[in-house]
Amino acid sequence: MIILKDERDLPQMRRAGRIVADVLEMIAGMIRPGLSTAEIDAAAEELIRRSGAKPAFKGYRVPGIRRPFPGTVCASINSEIVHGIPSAGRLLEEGDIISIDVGAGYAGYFGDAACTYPVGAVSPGRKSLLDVTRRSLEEGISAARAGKTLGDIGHAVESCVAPYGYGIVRDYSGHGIGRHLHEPPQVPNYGEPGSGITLVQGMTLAIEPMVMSGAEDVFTGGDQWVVKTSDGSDAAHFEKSILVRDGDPEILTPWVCA
Amino acid sequence: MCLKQPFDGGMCAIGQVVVSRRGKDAGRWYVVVGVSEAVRPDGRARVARVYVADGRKYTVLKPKAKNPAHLQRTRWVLDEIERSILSRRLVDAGRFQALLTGLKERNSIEEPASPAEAGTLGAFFGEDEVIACPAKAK
Repeated sequence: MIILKDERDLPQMRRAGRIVADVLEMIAGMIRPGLSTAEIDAAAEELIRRSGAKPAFKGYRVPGIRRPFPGTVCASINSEIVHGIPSAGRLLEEGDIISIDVGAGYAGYFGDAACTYPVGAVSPGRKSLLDVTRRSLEEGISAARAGKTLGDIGHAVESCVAPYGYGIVRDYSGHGIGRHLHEPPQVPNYGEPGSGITLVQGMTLAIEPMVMSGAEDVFTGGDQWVVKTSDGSDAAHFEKSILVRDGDPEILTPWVCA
Repeated sequence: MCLKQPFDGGMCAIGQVVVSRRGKDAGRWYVVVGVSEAVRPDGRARVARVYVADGRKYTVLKPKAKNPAHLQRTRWVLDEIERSILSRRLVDAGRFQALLTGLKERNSIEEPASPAEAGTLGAFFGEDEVIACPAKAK
């Protein structure tokens, strides 16, 4: 069941999204070699709580995984695609790329967004991966308007990525968001134009392309959370929560990271 | 935080072969013959239903409505059924049954005798493709 949002819900969703965007923008200014992912996690939690919200991921449970997610952010480095657990022992190195995924709950509503940052100067290959993935998110968002379909969003993302020979993570997808962190529908990053359910005004979706520079094969790490590329290739992940409208969608998590 | 992608009715295709994962018919194989979206009277929710048929108890004209979360998608699509439905031609029940049975025979698939055995269906998909249905909401 897809819950449509209206003006009773949107102020809280915009606030939750703004908090998430603030966290991502703060982290953009922190990223440097030698920083541990636990330090990023602590800073994010501090800002979320100071803003009157709660970390959405901390303690989050997923069926089939015994251990709840322990962090405020998912911090995934290089070949880690998503759901990396922050750790004091994971230090950033020059040339790494790190994906930070943040969620916050405010007044019963959720915001969810992610950005992949370069650590210092990165190789041209990694820079291209980030650029393409980010562009695919923008293409996906452009396709998310009332009257279009879920397949249109996926097709827009896939069409942007495919010419570069990059792989799309097909086992994981974006999702609806609102009173729950994960609501229907699923928002895959691939699809046929015109397929799937029709988008209508009031749907709130988290669109999140996950792109790999290598083959389309992933596995879950020993901690049961982190998802990695099977061939060790790099991965990038960008995400924004949006509100579907008749015209351009409204960005609920309007992060701007250089 | 992204989501492990289970079957979603919104993305299902007409003619797609699916397996029921919940209910008395757990383990039974069906073909998708329709998808509906309905808006709740208060306008705040959309409900998706997937209509499935097996050519026996449930036909194209009298399909079974399933919650998409209670179905598991397979990689097979029966083109003939898809074409017939999309061109609004009726699919003969016998032909329907033959196509579905033929698919199962070609792939050496046996339906479980009881819902309790439905869990063994995972063997057809490989461990990574087995998707647990969410627990029923209390």
